[in-house]
Amino acid sequence: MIKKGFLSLFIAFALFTGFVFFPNAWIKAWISNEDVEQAKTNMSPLVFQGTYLQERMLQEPSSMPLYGSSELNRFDPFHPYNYTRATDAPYSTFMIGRGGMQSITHFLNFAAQENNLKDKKVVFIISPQWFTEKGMGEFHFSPNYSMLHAYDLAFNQEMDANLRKRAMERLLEFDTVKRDRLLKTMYQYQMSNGKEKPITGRMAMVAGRFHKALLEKKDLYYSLFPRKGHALKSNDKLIANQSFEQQLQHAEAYGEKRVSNDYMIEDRAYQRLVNAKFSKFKDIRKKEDYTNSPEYEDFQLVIDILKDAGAKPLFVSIPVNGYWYDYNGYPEERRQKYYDKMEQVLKDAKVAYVDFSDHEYDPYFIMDTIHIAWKGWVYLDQQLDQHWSQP
Amino acid sequence: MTPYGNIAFFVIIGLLLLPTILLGLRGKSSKRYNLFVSVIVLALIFGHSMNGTISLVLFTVFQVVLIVAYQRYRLQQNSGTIFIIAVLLSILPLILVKVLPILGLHHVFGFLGVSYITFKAVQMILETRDGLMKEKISVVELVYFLLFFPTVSSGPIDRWRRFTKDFHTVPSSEDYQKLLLSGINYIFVGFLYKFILAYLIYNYTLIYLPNHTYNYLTPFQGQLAYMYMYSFYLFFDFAGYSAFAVGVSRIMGIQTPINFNRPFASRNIKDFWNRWHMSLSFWFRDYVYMRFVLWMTKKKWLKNKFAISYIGFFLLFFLMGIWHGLEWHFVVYGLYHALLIISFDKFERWNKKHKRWPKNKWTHAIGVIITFHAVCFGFYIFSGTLF
Amino acid sequence: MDQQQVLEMLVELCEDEIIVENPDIDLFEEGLLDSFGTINLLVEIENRFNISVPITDFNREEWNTPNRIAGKLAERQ
Repeated sequence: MIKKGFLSLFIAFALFTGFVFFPNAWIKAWISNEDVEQAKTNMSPLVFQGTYLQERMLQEPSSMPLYGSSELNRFDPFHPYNYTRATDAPYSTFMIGRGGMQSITHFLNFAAQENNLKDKKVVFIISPQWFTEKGMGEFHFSPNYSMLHAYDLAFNQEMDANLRKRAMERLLEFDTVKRDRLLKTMYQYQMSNGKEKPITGRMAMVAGRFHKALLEKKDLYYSLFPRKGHALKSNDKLIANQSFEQQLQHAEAYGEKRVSNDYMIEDRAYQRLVNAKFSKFKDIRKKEDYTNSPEYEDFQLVIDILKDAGAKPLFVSIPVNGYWYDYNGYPEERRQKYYDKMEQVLKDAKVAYVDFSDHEYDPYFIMDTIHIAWKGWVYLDQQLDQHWSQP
Repeated sequence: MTPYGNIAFFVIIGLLLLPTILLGLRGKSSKRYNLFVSVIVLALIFGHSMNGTISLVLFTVFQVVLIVAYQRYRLQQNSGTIFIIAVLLSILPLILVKVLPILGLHHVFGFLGVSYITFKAVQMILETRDGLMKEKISVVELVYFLLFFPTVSSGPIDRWRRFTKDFHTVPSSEDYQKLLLSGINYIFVGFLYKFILAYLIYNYTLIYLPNHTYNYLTPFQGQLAYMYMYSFYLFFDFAGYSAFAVGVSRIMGIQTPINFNRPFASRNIKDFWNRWHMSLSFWFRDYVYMRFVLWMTKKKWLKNKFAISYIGFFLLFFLMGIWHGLEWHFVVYGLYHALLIISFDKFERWNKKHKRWPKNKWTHAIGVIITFHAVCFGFYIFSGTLF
Repeated sequence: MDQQQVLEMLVELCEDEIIVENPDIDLFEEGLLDSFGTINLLVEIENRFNISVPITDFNREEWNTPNRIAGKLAERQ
């Protein structure tokens, strides 16, 4: 009995060591192109918080990724992923983003992929509701936080030192980061160029390198078994060989079938609001103002890292559902101030952008309260084609 | 460093305990070495805060002096007043820790595990009063018991007479192998509970509940889901922690009692309290409820002995409730459980006469289901979400 | 005090004849005795046999069957 017990312990230990020391190159060789293809649409946080699968996707010369948040999993026939396939576009796309992923999350991811972003065309969708008074909160930060990306940042020597310092300072404001004593020490050591905590800092860097290697290994094992792709809801005949106007008409008809209320909210989403007590949302945003938010600085980090990496981004400023926000007590004039400010930020940064803010009351451009879909995708698809054809 | 908080802690104690294991496997005593390890690990746990360290040292010295002095006194005399003063002195620091923050004096005094050490100390005074501590207590051993590092932060709460027996026993090589194996087993159960199950429950459900469900759940559904998920989380998190404590204790040759015995399979509420946070509920049972009831019965102040028992339950659960913190939801949580136990007790006695609820596997299953939901509702109160 | 007297006392306390039929039955496991019953038991032991058992000495693992209780009491007489 005891012998058996110890034997199983030794076997477990041997297996564990085997897994930990298994060569990375062998695991990578096992990750097929089909796995990578699944990962493009599986919308899995393991992909978003990992590095390897994203690296493979970015290294495909014809890929142009979409970065954003919860709108990205609004699959319908007009969704960019379905669009590029149906029209045999010269580029393909994949999506990085889910609910709660905001600028700082994307910053960390871009930082981890800096080497793969050189001259890469990417699209970044900016959501107005990120820019709340408090900005990114712990509640959204922690489930989307990638420890791997955060550790990677401490070893990133290519990034502009000042930018890196700004980012670390910002990250240290989050409890999730602060609680990680090892990471905190490494950041403090790096931020002070080794002046602060010279001994423990150096030790932390050694331990951190080891920890990062383990996280990379974990990412590779997760990448071996990617979740299956999302249900795509594609319908190529609404897209293929259809003019832009025809596509808009199809999208409008598609939306019309799914919306039957004055707020222009898709029926199932509307039902959820009713279940949650509709009247509770009246004037719920009376005091909200998206022009003053720590998110602006986080967003500046995104702009700066993409410049630092030499990427070619297209920024997309999307509107909210005007009907719904009126009911929420966030009036049009105040919303316009946000759109104006965002446009100014993008202009000042001298980056390519498109501004969809005049589609606030455009039926079927937004599918529910904040997410673009249907007609919104059709407009975006047109912009993607244009951005790809830019030199 | 929080005990069992991260992998580094396990690596450190794993390395520190290697000599313990080697000595144990050769059938030799690792007593002295374990004392040395304890000092190091306690320094790791408490060392980061000067304030906390000083508090801990003062507190331990205070309790040790109190216990030894009371024991010396008890060998000669046995006055009830002195006994009560000793008990009050022993719980005074705990009361201060709980009350001072309310008076606005934060961080003056307080450290991890203060209540668990208090439980052990009070227990020593009570058993001395009962005349069960006749032998001279070694101060080193007493400190080792009070600050036994595997259980120092959150239990399980061991008993002195049991602990000291283990401490003085040097297991044979074969016995130690069994201890070691079951210790490692417990630690891995802990990994499963705390770092896999509790982690998943927290990160995939609890952070969205009760009202961050993006309207996918109605407010009522959100609360309901929260109630059950919180209950499971509480169990796996705490049972995982307890399993670590039991496992590490065993490797050090101390068979710390287990804290959880499949609580969600309890067939009634009394059964539940024999399976949930056992070392705490047994402590309250033995040192509060039973003493109180015995005392009341002997004094014969109340004719109805069941009334005495019910008052005893209220006392027990009220104390257990406020022990968690001086807040309303903890008090209500305690009273809720007192009511459950009393109602069940009444039912049980009624059924003894009328025999309407037979004992078979069906009634057993129904009992488990009812108990489970009643208990989850209790945790819902406990969570403080309700009010 | 003999075994018979102890069993009689337990039958009265637990209100169940099974104690005589099976004096090795686990009283706690079967729900015949709980904390409250234990107190009554300790009071009865003191009244009938004039033996004082401190609560802290009443260990459920060692006092769980009628036979064991009788044995423990015999030790203390």
